[in-house]
Amino acid sequence: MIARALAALLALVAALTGTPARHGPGPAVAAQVATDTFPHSLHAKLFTTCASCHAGISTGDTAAVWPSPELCAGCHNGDLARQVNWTPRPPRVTNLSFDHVPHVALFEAMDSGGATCQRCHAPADSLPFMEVGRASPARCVDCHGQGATSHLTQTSCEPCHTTLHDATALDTATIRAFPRPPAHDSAWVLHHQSAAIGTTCAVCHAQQFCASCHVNARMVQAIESLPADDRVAAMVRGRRVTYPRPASHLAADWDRAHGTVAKAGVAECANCHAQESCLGCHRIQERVPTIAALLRRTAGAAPGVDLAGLRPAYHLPDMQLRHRTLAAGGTATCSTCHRPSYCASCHDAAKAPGFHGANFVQRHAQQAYTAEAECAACHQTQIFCRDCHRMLGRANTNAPIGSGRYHDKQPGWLFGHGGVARRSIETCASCHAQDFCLRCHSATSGWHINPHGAGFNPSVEGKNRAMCLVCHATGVPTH
Amino acid sequence: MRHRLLSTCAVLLGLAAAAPALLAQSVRLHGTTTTQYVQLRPIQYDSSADSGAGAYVSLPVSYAAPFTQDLELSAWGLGMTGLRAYVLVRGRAALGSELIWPQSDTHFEALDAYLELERPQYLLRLGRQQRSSGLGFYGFDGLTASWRPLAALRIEGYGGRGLARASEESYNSSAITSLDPLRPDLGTILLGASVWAAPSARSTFSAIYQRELLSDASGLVSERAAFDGRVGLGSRLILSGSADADIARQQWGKARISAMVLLPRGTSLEIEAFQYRPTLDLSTIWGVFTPESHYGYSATATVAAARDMTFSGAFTYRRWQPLSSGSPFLVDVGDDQKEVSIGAHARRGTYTLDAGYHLQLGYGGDQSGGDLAVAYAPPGGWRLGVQTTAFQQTDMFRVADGTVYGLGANVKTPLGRRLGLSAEATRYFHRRLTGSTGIDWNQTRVSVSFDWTIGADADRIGSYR
Repeated sequence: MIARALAALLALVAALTGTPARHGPGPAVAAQVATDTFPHSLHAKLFTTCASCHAGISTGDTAAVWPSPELCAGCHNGDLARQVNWTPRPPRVTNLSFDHVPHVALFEAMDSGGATCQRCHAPADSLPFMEVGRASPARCVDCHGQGATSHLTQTSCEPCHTTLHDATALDTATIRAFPRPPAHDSAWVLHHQSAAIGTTCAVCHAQQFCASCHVNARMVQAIESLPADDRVAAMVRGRRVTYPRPASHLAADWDRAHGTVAKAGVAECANCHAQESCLGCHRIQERVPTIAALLRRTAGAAPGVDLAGLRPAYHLPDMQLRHRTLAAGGTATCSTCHRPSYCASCHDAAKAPGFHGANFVQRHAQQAYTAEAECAACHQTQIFCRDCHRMLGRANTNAPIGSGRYHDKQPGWLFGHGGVARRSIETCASCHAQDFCLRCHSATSGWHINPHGAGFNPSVEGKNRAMCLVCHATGVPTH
Repeated sequence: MRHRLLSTCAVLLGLAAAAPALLAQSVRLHGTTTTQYVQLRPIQYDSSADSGAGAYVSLPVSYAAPFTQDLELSAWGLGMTGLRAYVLVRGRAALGSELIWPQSDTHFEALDAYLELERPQYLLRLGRQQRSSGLGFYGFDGLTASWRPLAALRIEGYGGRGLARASEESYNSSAITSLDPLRPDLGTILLGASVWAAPSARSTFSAIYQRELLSDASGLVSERAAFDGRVGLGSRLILSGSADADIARQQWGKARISAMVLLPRGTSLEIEAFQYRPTLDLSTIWGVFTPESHYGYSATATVAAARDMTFSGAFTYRRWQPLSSGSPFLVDVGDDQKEVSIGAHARRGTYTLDAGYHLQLGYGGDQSGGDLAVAYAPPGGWRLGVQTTAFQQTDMFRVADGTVYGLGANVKTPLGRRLGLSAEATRYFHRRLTGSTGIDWNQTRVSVSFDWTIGADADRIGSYR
């Protein structure tokens, strides 16, 4: 049991302290960049040209791209060399729009030393013959780079890759594992619009990918011009979109300033916001034309920024306890975002564990004594407090008055309770009804003990004469 | 009879507000169903206990199982721009419990039930409504009229039949009069006016005046005013203050003034000075018992040590006037109170950790306790957590010492955009201090809450949760 607990604890600590997994290429990509497993260099003295095995490369004869199994078996027959069972590879599933024949012809025209294949298949030109493997994209960049320093910093992919629409043989796993260009960093979403021209995007993306974020996808020409693709549609179905906040939205007064921006035109807003984004605050949509200009959220389309739960800048961390000043503006201010039921979830809740901490029922006495939270602001003490106290026997005064049986920590409670009561008289009311006090504090009955403290002003505090008469039935004193 | 008639009128008013829903183009119904299981151990005075001297003794553990159903209805698209009907009602029941949880026998309550017309420059709201302001919460059945001549200026007036503070019962309802026979058998009339202004994005001011009379105008229940202000100076400093005045008694009630400095990356420091004096209706005898005020100050610091890691600390000091009676009969009560709390919040990926410790020395007792909660909270609103608590207290007025440990779990499952289920269970273990007597606190508490929404989705669903 202890071991299990320790294991669980360690797992938790690891989860809290561990570094997140580094993002890297998926398994399919890893397979693609893996080194060719054929030991070319061991065969360098046996074959003097690449065409000995790959004759079809330069001619376009697909049947002769790979050596025949019989050619290998000429040596690897178990006698001369260990036996191998090899069959030519099937055509590679790729989105490369690459043709060996013109490349070979071009390099053969350029080369005098017979290093035609090594231009692409060797990591560097200076390596010995047959130090080759699968062609590296970096070698493609040497010629097709257009100023790019590496494969993924290309600004245009078309020279080498077909669009996703044309790469029909690719499966979703391969598409999902496409490498992410460095330019597609965390800020990319905010400024990709200027780069979304031409067909480069279409190499990796289809219409549905953009539409999974863009609420207004069908109104954006660049998105509409992208081909649709069922594989991408399946990939983005149920995608959870996180919308970044543009720099303008980070300004302290954005809550107020955004209206002016929106009134100038919502075309840009419409990329990320549906009407529902605004209706969280602007609940009377009919009177806000700019909101009506946005699209409604529809099933299956991008949800748009969900502003539910978004805290305005002035909702500081202690808002829960310090919102009085803001709420004092009246319900109209708060009701911009919150419904009465939201306020009631704490102030008149079936249960309010978020406001009162754990075990509050036992802790609450001291909070009540010190008025740390004004109980009467939310609870009708005569109903709520006394209901519970009476139910649990705390307000049931079967004990003899004056015995101090309940307030048993204070032996002289009856004689000393006045000072304490004046400090937190609301707590008295949470157990005792008014007539309980009148057993002693009345001018007409009981012990005639005057409850009025220093500074009592009958002319001011006696404005409800009926209450005065409760004790002073024969007439209210004027001094 | 008269009370029943008024209650019936209130319900009919609610139904009248709900009736337009039948004609509305858009209707949304939101409900929250909550069931709790709460173990408690009542006490009872036993005259034969303590060798015949008499004492309170603990009874066997019992339980309450309150059931609460909140229903909220919004209807709009009623053929007039800005017109809507809104109703928030609550039903309560006790599910086979031996104890009655507070207000479980109040089987129906209309918290809000009104028709509202909101236009760019004015708002009218008719029906049962709650008024939240610097004076606290007051409910009434009546009319609110709000005029908004400028976007950041609002002037309001309101009035109607008053409800008892923080409840949905009128003062002359049987629920209140049965508890307190000295209450006048009269309802109240509530009248008030307020002004609110926000001259800048970081500054708001409001003032409110409110008067509550017995329904036959034979006496004053309360006459109060409050002021609240908040000013942002630059981007780093926020000054705020509030005060409420008991005009009827010509004295100040609560008041506070604070300054908060906002430092980069979520770090802040706030200092505050305050005074507290309870406000008690003139229709009770409590007010003439001359309640005393206390004052104090506090300092709160929040430090964002790293992204998703926040530490906070606070110190509060309160001081009362010395006990006026100078009574030799009270032992170790003291005149002040000190309070220290520290907390931490950390989030790593989908895991969150919250920890806090709280120490309170006086008045009314000493408390020391801490809480620790760890939760797995992936995006989408799911949450699965465990929480522990340890708590120790000594009481000044009652022998109820001991240490309580608690261990529990909670889960929250959003079942789509319109459904949500949350549940929590905690078991408390009580260990008394050596030689101490008192009430046993070993108990179990469970709550299950189901939240659902049907109908139109014009507003954001998330604001319910």
